[in-house]
Amino acid sequence: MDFSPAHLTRYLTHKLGAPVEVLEVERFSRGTSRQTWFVSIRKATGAEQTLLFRTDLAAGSIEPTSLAQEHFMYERLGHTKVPVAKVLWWEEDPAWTETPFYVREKIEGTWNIPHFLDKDPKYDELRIEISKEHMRKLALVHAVDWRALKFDERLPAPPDEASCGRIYVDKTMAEFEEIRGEGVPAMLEVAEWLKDKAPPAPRICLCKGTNGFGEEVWRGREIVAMSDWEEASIGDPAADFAFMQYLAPELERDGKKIWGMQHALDYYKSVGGAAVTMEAIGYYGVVRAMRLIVMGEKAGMAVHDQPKLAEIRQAWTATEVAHVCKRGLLAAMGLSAPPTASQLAEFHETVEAPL
Amino acid sequence: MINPTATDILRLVDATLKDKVEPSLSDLTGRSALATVRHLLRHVLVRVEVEGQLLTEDIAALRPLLAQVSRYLASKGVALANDIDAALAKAHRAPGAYPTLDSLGLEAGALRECVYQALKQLQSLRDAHGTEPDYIAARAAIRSYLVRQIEEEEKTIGPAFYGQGPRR
Repeated sequence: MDFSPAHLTRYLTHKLGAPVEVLEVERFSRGTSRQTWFVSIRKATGAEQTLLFRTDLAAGSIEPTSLAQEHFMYERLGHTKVPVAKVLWWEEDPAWTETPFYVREKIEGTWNIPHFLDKDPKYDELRIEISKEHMRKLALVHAVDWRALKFDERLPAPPDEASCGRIYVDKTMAEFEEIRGEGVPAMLEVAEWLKDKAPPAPRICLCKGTNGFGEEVWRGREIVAMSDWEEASIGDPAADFAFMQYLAPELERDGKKIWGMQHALDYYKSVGGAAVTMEAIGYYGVVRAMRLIVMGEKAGMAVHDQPKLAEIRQAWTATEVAHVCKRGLLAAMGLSAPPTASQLAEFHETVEAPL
Repeated sequence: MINPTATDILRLVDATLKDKVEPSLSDLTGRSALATVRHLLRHVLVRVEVEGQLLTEDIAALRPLLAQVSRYLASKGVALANDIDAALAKAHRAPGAYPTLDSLGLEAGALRECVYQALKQLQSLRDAHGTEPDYIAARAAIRSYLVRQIEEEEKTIGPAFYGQGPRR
């Protein structure tokens, strides 16, 4: 897609059926899976609006799932109580674009939560309230009637609670086989290990996949839009607690634990969530590491096959991210020492929000 | 040899990016991309210095492992044993040719792919033969290899990335 103001003016005038003035075009600097562009426009009526365009990276998304699936998720979620940006349209007309994209409304808010990462105890109350808000919204996601809304038209659904872990591991390995270059024996080893010890799910839910600080749109202490649905699946809700990026912070003051994952789980259950165990979360944390290796492999192939089109972050995902996740697999099986907490925390550090 | 060396130049490029380019960038996208570039530049520098030796040792570990696994698979009549033997016999560079990093990487990658395929086969044999000493030994040898390989890979990652600031 050509994101020049001139092309966007022509395209949006055609699409909206009336003259449009493009005021500003900005590529969102965060996110590594796909391109996100904010396009601010003024319509003939004088009304101004910001549209959000999503399209694959030039050398392909790092996600094993398609852009069409992401669009499907937003469209279906629009029929639920889960706060999401309204999806507006899908475009693949070669007269306008070489690669498909879709457009959704931009929700006013920010990914950042001022002071959330500030270690000063005076922000503990903020951290706990933010964590509770996240739990409330996760409970909403997990309460979605995925059968009635036909989410299983796109997402594979386990036949029963006992199969959730095995199906998720099989899906991950199938995606790995589809995109991989060189085989990674650790993936086979851990897949077998995980399938041998898969815990039964408390219920079969729609799961978001990618959670935590930086993944949602906040206004004050409220999540006004849940974003990043690329990793959505149907299965054990524990999967959604395995990648929380700070949103269940472990807080201990004066020798007393005042918040942590278990507190968050108890709160989540009190607002309608399922009975999720720490053991199951640990299990899905390993599956999450497998999925990050799949993304690393896909990113690595993009850099290898199309070095002039690939993004610099794809090379990072393929190197450090994939390597640390492989170490995580070994550690989970008790074969090697785990990556340190600081090594994992550094992944989430950005020039905008240094640790 | 030309002085400065390749690694001297990589260090100079990184210092120039840090001292001359970074301060001039006001755009967040550019600063974020530069942060990633500098990490990867250090990664390349480390790989130039250590990867040749790592790959040579990796290949040296892969060959006896594959020979062991191939013998086991052949004893069970699994055709993959022939493919593994062929991969072990293949020459990856002309006699006397300098083993470039790319050629060492391709050789190690081809042999590791054999390990991957062999492990798949072994997993499919687990129910029938999983308690046999030779089966257990083959699985243990593969596990030991993959631990070693990933721990060695750490030498190209840790010095380049850990504690070096935001990645993006």
